[in-house]
Formats: sequence, C-alpha cells, structure tokens
Amino acid sequence: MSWQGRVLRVNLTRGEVTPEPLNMEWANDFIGERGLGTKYLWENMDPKVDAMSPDNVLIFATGPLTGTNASTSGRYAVLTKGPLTGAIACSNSGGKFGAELKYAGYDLLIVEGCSEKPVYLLIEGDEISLQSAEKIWGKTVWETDEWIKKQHHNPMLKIATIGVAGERGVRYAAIVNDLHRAAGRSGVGSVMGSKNLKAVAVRGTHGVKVKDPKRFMQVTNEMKNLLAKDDGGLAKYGTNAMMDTMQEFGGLPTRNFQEVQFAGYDKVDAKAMLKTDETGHRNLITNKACFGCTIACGRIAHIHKDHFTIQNRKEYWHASGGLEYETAFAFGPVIGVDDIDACTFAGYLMNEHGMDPISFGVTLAAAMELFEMGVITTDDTDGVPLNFGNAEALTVMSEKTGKQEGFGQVLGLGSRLMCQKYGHPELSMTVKGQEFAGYDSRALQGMGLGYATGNRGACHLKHDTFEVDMDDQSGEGKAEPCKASQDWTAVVDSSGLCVFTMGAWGAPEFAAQLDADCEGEWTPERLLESGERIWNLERMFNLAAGLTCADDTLPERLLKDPAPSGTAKGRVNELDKMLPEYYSLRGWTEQGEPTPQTLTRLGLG
Amino acid sequence: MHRSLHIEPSLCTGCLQCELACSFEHEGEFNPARSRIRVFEFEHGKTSVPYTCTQCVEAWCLKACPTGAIYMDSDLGAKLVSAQACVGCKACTTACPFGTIEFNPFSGKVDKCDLCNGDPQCVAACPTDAITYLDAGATGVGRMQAFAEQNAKGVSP
Amino acid sequence: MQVKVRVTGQLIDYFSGTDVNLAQGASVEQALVALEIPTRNVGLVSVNGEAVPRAKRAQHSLVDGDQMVVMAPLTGG
Repeated sequence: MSWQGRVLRVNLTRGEVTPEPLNMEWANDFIGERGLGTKYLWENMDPKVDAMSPDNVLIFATGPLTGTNASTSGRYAVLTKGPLTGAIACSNSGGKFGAELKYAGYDLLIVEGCSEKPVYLLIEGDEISLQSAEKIWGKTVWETDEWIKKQHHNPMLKIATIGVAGERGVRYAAIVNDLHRAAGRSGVGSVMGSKNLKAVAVRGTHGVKVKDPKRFMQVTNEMKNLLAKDDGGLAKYGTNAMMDTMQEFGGLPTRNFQEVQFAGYDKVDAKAMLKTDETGHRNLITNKACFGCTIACGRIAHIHKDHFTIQNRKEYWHASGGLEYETAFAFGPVIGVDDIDACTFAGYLMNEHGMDPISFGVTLAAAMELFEMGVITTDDTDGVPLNFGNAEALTVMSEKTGKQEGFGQVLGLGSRLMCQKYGHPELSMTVKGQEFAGYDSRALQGMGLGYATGNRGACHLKHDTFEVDMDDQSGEGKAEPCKASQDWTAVVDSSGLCVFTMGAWGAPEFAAQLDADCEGEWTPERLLESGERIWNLERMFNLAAGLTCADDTLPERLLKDPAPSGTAKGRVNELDKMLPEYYSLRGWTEQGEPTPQTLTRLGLG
Repeated sequence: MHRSLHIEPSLCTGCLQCELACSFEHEGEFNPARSRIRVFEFEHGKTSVPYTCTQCVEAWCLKACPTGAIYMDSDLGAKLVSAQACVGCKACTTACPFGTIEFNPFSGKVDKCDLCNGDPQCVAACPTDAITYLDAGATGVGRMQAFAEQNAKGVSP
Repeated sequence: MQVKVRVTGQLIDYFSGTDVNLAQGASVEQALVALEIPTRNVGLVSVNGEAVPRAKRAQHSLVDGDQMVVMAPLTGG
C-alpha cells in the first residue's frame, strides 16, 4: 500500500541479503525517500565515520508515490555521508530505476560494509543475489548497463551503476541509472566504489497499490491537468532556457565566478540547441521524460560528426542525454567556453564515466584560474593549456578525470582539496566542499543563504527563493522564504515526485495525492511539519559529523568582491545580515544548533 | 465505427503513463510488468516506441488456441481471452509473431490488449497523443496530411 | 513612442520582435499588456539595465528609446 512495507538490507562484508519490515513509525514521521532515508541513516551509522570507509552506510530510497501514476513518480534518492563534503549527502535522481526498486517490493535498499571482491547486486523478481563484478570492474557506465542485461538475458533490468570515477574515489563521482540520469552530487558514486559495489540491477514484478484507488485516479488526473496548464517551457526548451535569463539578470557565474555575465552565452543556451546550422545539423533531437513524468524536460541531443571531439570516434556518434542548465553553465560560462558540441561531448562523458558535471566544471574553473595565475603550468597539466575558453581543455580533462589519468587525478579531488594543494584555497567556489551551481550569490541573495545553509553543501535544489531574489536584489527579507522553501522542498523530495512540479502544485496538491495513496490522514499541515523535522534531522547528522556554524558561509569572492555588472552590479552577498535572522527563525541558537525546545517540538528530542 | 490504436512514436517521450494506466485498469495496481502495452527505447532514448496487440483480423493467436479461449468482440474488433477456457498452454504466445500476447505466471492465463471495452486507458493517460484511438480505416491520414503539407510548400502561389 | 524589447527563456513564444510601439508615458505594466505577455509569466523587467520591481511596474513610465528586457522566471535546473 503506497509503501511496499519492506526494506532490503545488504551486508557486503558478510555477503548477506536480508529483507526486513519497513519501520512504519518512521515512515509516518518522515514520509519516504529523502526524509525516511535520512532517518535510516541516522539510526544505522555514526556520522563521524570516514565517508569511504566500510562503516559508511549507503541507502537507495523511494517515496510512497514512486511507481504510482502521479505525474513525475519516478524519483528516488541516494543517501549517505558524502566524500566531497563530509556532510550528509542526499542525491536525487529520476529515470526508471527508482520505480523498478518499488516494483521489486522494496521501499529502501540499505547497503552496509564492504565486499572483499567487486560485486553487483541483482534483483530479479524475488531472486536476490550478489554477483561477481570482476568482468565489469573498470568498465564504463554504458558498457556495464549493456553487459548486465546481456549476461542475464533480461533487457527489462533497470541498472544504477558507477564508472571508473566511482571505483577510483573521484570526490564527485556519481551513480548513473538508465544511461543518462544520475544521483549526481557529493560523490555518492565513490561510496559505492569504496564498497566494491559496481552496480544494482533490478527487475520488479510486484505492483504498487494505493489506499483509495478510485479517489487516487481522480486526484492524479486533476493534478496532471493543473501541471499541463503551464510547464514554463520545460518540454520545449529544457532547463537551459534559463541561461539567457541568468545572463540578462546578471547572475551567470563566469570564469570561476569572477564575473556574472558571459558574452558567449548565446552559443550554449537553449536557443543554440535548437538552431540548425548550414550543414543541417541541430544539437537537440527531441525531449524525453523520466518514469511517470508528463512534463518531459529531458534533452536528447547529438554532437556534430565533424567536431574535433568525435571526428574519429564513431562510438560517440549516437544520440544521448543533452545539455540541461547546470551542465551548460558548468561547461560553458564558468570555464569561459562557448562551443556547444564540446559542452555536449563533455556531458556525454559525465554520464559515461559517472561524474557530477557541476563539481567537475567548477573544479576545472578553479584549475584554469590557477593556470592563468601561473600557479600551475602545462608541466602539471599533461601539456594541456588550461586557459579559460579552451574547449579542448574541457573535453580532454573530462576524459582524463573520468578515467583517472594524469591531471585528471588532481581534478578528481574536487576544487577544495585541489586549491588547498596549490596554496590558494580562496579559489575554490564551494560551501562545505561542494561546488556552487549556476547562480551567483551576489545577484541572487536568498540563493546565497540557501547555498550557505544547505545541509549537503552548496546546492540549488534544496530551497527556492528565485521569485523574491529576482524581484529584490538585496538580502532584505530573504531568511523567511529561504527557511520555508527548504522545509517544503524536503517534503517534495520525500514524496517520490519531482521538484519541477512545485510551480503548479503546493502543499494542498501534494497532500491530496498522498492522502489518497497512504494509510492515515495526510494534510498540508502534517506535510509542512514533516519538512521541518527532516531539515533538522539532516542538521543533527551534520553537527554530529563535526560540522559547525563556521561552515555556513560563502567564499570571500562572493562576500567581498562586488558583482561587476548586471542588475546586481556593485553588490556582495549579505550573508552576515541574513544568517542570524535565519538561525532565529529556525529555532536554533546563535551557533546554528537546534535548541532543545525546537527538537522536542519536532519529535527529535 | 471500428477504431484501432494508432501509435505515433515521434510524439512519445517515454513517460510510461500508458503502462501504468493499463496495469491499473486490468490489475488494480500500478505494475508495468503486467501492462499489455510496452514502451521500447532505442539509442539512449532518441526514439521511444509504444507497442501492443494490433488486433489482427485473422489472428494467429486465435487460430493456435486449442480450447477456443480466444474470441473476437465484433463491435470493437478486439481479440479477447476467456479466462475460463484458457488453460495456459502458451501456444498463442508462440504463434503471435509480435509477442503481444503474454503468459501471466500469477494467474496462469494469458494477457493481451482488449481495448478496454472501447475506452482504451493508455489513450486517456498519454500526455502527448502518441497513442490515439482512431477510425481503423484512416489511421494513416495524419501522416498523409503532414506530407501533403510538405508538398504544398513547394507549390508556387 | 518606440521602446526596444528583448525577452528571455520561454517568453520568446509570446513575443519574438525587437521593439514595441507604445503611447507616450506608458508604464512597464502597460508595455507587458501590449506585448501580450501575462504578468504572472514574467520573472523580472529591467529598463536600461535597471531592475523594475513588480510593485513598481505600474508606476515606472517608459520614454522613447528605452531598452526593456522582459525576463522569464527562474525555476532551477
């Protein structure tokens, strides 16, 4: 019923697979996916352990709406302690894998310990086994996906896997499912790699039932109609439609956040993806949906056959996942590159080798700034000049980092460790070690506060102050909408649905769907309280892991160097004003710790 | 009027709402493994193609069945399976060249598209009209029209 | 009077021109009406590089030759 009521515990050290009942008390308090996964992490591990040690716990978590016909019902989350940050990692993904895990009969998959030899987990109906991965260790994500399906004569398997990047501990290695969707951030792929777990392959044949089928169908149809009224251009343009808005607004991080506007933006934005050139080539082929999604923001693209990156490499002539906003920003403006085919090729490599494009791009940007300063030279970078704007630097280094060759081994550390290594920590554009997404905090103040206080480090997806940030470029009044949207986004992330429904659906719409789905009474108020509870539990994990309020900060560049142009020209981020108000609103001390009263109120005391 | 399902792959985004609707209609739960319509993806999602029973007029499955469990609903033009008469021998699954009739290990019978009594749920659920339910004698009209429009562009005013 | 107009993001589906003719002293709000862009679909308007807050759209008067940028809302991606 909505939840399957079962969790699969896999102990890789002992090679044991054990189904156990889902803790329904926890499900009722934390909903599912992000919230429930966080609670299971909290109860199953010590937050102080090293992220790449066997004592770290890795959880794949679905929500109660995952696998139903509610629109966008394909979402699942990967939760663990992040190697990039040393904080809680909660990485969300779409595609088909999450729904399939539900159909296999499990709400959560909990992976503990470490296998002596490389293995992959195979779930086919009710048959579960750990299979030797010796033939696929060292293979790419795409090779692994194909191999496993062939090996078991089962094209219906849905596979979440790591590439060499995850095997070799790249700090921002990702887990890629269904070829080009990913649990991308914080290095969750390297947790899997450290456990010698290459892949999880699932085929499920159970169904997902709901509490009130007739009402559920009515409600989900109603909600789909609401969603269809205005998709904000996502189906036609994808999220990269935002790039020219960010450019005009003046918040588009350029050349490692030295600037906020990029002259070459129109070569890598959504319109550029739709342009047909003289040879008849157009970057974008079509759009694509995740499981259950009626928005279909995904991009399918291809690279020009004559482009230097794939001219002699037939294996890349096929279509695959195209540029969405973050990848376009990370491979375009932030490194000064305006070559759409190079950006698309690097995007392919991110999926093929299993890496986070945001962290890779911003790390490369820091390397480019170090190079232009003369701190590193071509002697360090395998002869590749890392100048801003050099498209070949992007594509060559993407591949080296994916395969962990040469300077790719340095880039694979992430910008915090890399910049420390070269004596310039101030050039790492990160919070808690995680690189910023494509929004400059000097232009979007509330976004800056969200970056600084986000539980998984700099992240653009765990709060939503876009509307107030665009309308008012100061830090005035940003604490409240930041806190409120953080709590609300935690609910959406726990439901099994996608944040891109948030424009059309609020608490009443989510409550209506959950109430027809799940046992018990699900009201908007209950959801909002759950969201605050989830946010605070994540905070508790981080405090126990050793993080403090000193980590709720932004790089000097964003606090001291004014935005050089755009609507927020002359501004720095006003974190010093926003943070105290934020702590107060949260019911935390001035040191950013939840007070006993707050914890008791939320049932976390 | 006889209608049949028409599939336009270029409009399919691979959302699988059709599989969800079909399994829900027939099984009362969301379970794509039990859907009678399946979506296939090619080249990393460049094309997504739903496929299901095309309701052959001279159906291989019907002819192969030794108990007469497969029969035609002449109003709909649909080939239906009588659960009572079906013994699960699977001869029909071998006979059908398209693979669109499938054995159900849980019920011990075979499942296939039955056009939902004239109100196909996959059609209702599809957000992009990749699946429609059209006059069976005119399913090609949409494509003809698209090409006619191409030709008209070349005609001088 | 003539005002130069640029739009961003999906707003290109509402208006793909380069300028708009308006009555003397027309406000930003009136300009949006003339461009047939629903105000709820607008993230921010800037005039000559200066942001015009939503609350000021009805008061801010445009002059001939002004450069107006109508930005789509941001959604995260």
